[in-house]
Amino acid sequence: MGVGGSLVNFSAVDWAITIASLVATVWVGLRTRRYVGRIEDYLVANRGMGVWVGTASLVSTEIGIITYMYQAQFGFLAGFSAFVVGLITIAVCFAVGRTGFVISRLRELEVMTVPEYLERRYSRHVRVLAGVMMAVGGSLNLGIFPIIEARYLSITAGIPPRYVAWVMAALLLIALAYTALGGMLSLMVTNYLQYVLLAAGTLVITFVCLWRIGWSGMTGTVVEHMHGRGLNPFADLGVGPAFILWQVLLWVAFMTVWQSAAMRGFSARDAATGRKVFTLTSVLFLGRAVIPMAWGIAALAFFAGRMTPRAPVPDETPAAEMARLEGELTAGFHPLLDQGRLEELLPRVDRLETLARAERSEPHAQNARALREEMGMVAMPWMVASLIPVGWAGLVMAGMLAASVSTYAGYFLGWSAVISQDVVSPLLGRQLSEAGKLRLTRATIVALVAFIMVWSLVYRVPGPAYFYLQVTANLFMAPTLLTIAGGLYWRKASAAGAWACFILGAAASLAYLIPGTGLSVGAAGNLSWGLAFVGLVAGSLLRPPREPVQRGVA
Amino acid sequence: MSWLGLWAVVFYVSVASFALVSALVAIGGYREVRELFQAFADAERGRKPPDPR
Repeated sequence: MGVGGSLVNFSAVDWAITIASLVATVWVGLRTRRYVGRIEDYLVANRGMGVWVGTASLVSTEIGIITYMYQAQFGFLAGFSAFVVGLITIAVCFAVGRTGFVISRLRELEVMTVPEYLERRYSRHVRVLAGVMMAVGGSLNLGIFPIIEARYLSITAGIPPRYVAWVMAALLLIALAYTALGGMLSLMVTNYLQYVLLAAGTLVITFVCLWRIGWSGMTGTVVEHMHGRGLNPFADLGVGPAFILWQVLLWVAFMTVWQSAAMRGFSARDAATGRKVFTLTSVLFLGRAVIPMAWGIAALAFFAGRMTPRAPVPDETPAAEMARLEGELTAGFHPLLDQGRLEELLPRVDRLETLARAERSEPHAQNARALREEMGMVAMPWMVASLIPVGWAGLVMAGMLAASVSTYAGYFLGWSAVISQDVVSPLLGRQLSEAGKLRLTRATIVALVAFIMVWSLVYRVPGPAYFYLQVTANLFMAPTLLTIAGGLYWRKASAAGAWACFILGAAASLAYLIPGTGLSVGAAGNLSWGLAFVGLVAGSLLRPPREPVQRGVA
Repeated sequence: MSWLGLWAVVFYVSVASFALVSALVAIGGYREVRELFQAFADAERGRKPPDPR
């Protein structure tokens, strides 16, 4: 417990460590600016990336505070069953790294963005369509990062909510400054430093969870408090062939055509280096999933251990008890959540869920699920704020901010490269000079940051953040992977098929984002892949390529 | 093997492999960053006009 009964242990020493880490990152990032003269230096660091820096860069970009928050939320809600996603991740990433599926061919073709290949293989219009889809999906995906990460900072550093937006704006501007000036070279160097910090922070939190709560505390809580759930993913998550297929496809797409990940492959010294980076990354991606999921379970154990039993009200009917609990939660849920008093909320939500299940009351069950999801999002930060000692809290915060800033920087560069090179530049209809391309990409990064600041303030996420992120990604990942894999490995794939693939694939994902459609995330994901596949095959067979495909691009 | 046994193995393997590969990345990455800067600095020197003296 922190000073004065507060849950937060964040002192002046911790602030000093945090600020020093940010200053060092910016200083290192800005030093690279002088070496950037051409767009190839800027977007793919003149293809000079080695295995270790490449791994650090890829992993630090794909681990942000938001990653740890949604994975912890998943662990809090699903218990150990959530770990199955980590196993699928390592299997897929390892297979992509070992085989070089898609990534090796794209590296050999020396593209700088994923849609660039689509112009070589299909047509300029397909490149622009893919660019628009990726820009929209990628921006929507990135758009919720600041608001979720702000909650982490607010809780763990004790920053008053009214200042959190300013803190997030400052972090976005830090990432903007060195990314806009130094591009990929700046990213690779800062990512190295950031990776070291985030790995240290990750291991400190894990160690403290094991020290203060223990593996037995975590397993005991899942067995005791999850009413028979939390261990068997087949029963809990509906894991079956459809779920596994969806996750496998999603991860193949993530490793091969997700612009910020694919750019690491494009920046590698050669295709073999790219494959080694992805193989090493698979091991770290197992930890990226499983470790924060375990923190979520530890947070559940932490708060469950502080719960006090509630005395039943005599002669109260189940319907009256559910109504009373809902009334109490409506009035007190958010004030208690904002103070980190989850031990007072958990028994009420547990009881409401139990009663709703027994009475088969779907509205009460839905409400209880939504409240549990909200608790799951903040439980891990509150546990971290409470358990990490002074001094170590600064190291952990430096690690989390490094994770956050590196993710923003990587995504800014990735999505702005797509917007500038694959949408704006082709539509201008004339060849830009090297300096013009650099100016355009830098201006796009600034516009992207402005959009993200606005979107994160106005949008409310429907359901768990984990699913929102996967569905926005699916807007373009299914069609992009299918058109690229089809283009590389199927000579009959045509531009008409690519068009149909993108339009049909995006339609299913868009339906999930529209409130009131009732489409589940799993159904939207599978529908997206199914329709995109049908679109590519049917469109290509109905309107085959007009000319034979050039050697090398297929 | 029970579910609990399986998840314990998965968790401890995840943490150990994360720590090991992170240490390797920290050591190997330091050398690569230095080489990267050196390569860019050499390229920059090559682009500069010769010293008139």
